[in-house]
Amino acid sequence: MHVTLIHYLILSAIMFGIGVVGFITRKNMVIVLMCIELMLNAANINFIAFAKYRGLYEGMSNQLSGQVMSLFVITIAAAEAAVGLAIIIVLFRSRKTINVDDVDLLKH
Amino acid sequence: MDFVFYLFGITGLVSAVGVVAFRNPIHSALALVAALFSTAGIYILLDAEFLAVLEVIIYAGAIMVLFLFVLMCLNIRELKALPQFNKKIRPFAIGITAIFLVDMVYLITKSQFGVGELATGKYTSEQVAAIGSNAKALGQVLYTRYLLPFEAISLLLLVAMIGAILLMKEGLGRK
Repeated sequence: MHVTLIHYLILSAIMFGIGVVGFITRKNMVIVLMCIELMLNAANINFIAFAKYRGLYEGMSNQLSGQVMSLFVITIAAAEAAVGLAIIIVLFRSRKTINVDDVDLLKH
Repeated sequence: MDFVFYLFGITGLVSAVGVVAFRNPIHSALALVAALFSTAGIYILLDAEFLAVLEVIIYAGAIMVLFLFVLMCLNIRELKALPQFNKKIRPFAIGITAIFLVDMVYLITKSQFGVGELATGKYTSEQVAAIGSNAKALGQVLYTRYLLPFEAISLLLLVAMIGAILLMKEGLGRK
């Protein structure tokens, strides 16, 4: 079967699903952040695939718009990783743990 | 072409599973690097050469070095001893994600996305080739049509940088 838009969309859906499973089941906060990166990455594949192939709306397709959006997503991912890792370091300093289940101050 | 897609796709998915399944956080980080490299290959298949290079430099280079640096700062022996997986919630997570995936695959295959025609309109592959390169064309679009979002995103990056520095400052978070 020739590779078309569908293949890229399914690839990105599966990658997003793996990211969601990791996000929910892992206890290590650093790995939870890594799974967020995985999910953002899957979204990026969608953007770039829709930039190359024609979606439902013919008039709106501009090849490079999707790539520009993907550029913005990469930037957001970088910012999110920097702030998230800073928060993890501060948390580790004050509470000596990065286990997501131990940080339940707002629950009680 | 098809073979290359399946090669990169399967490598990417296997490494993504590795990120979730490895016990040792360092192994997870290295698996994520492999997944990001495979994604860069997929980008090249989709005519996004500049973004493929950015993916390798920013994601696999800068962000992953940051992750590994933080893992190094935290005590790795203690981290490995911690419980890594939430076993109680795992069947639910996998079940819900499986339902989501079946839904998504059904919707994608049933929709009219699969026409498989290349995009028309501005900046088709031929026009990009006429401009010179993918990077050049992307720059033209970024600095004209998307100038305001570009400035906004640069401001966001500055705020994130200042926020990270402030958070890490000595004294904050200490009891």
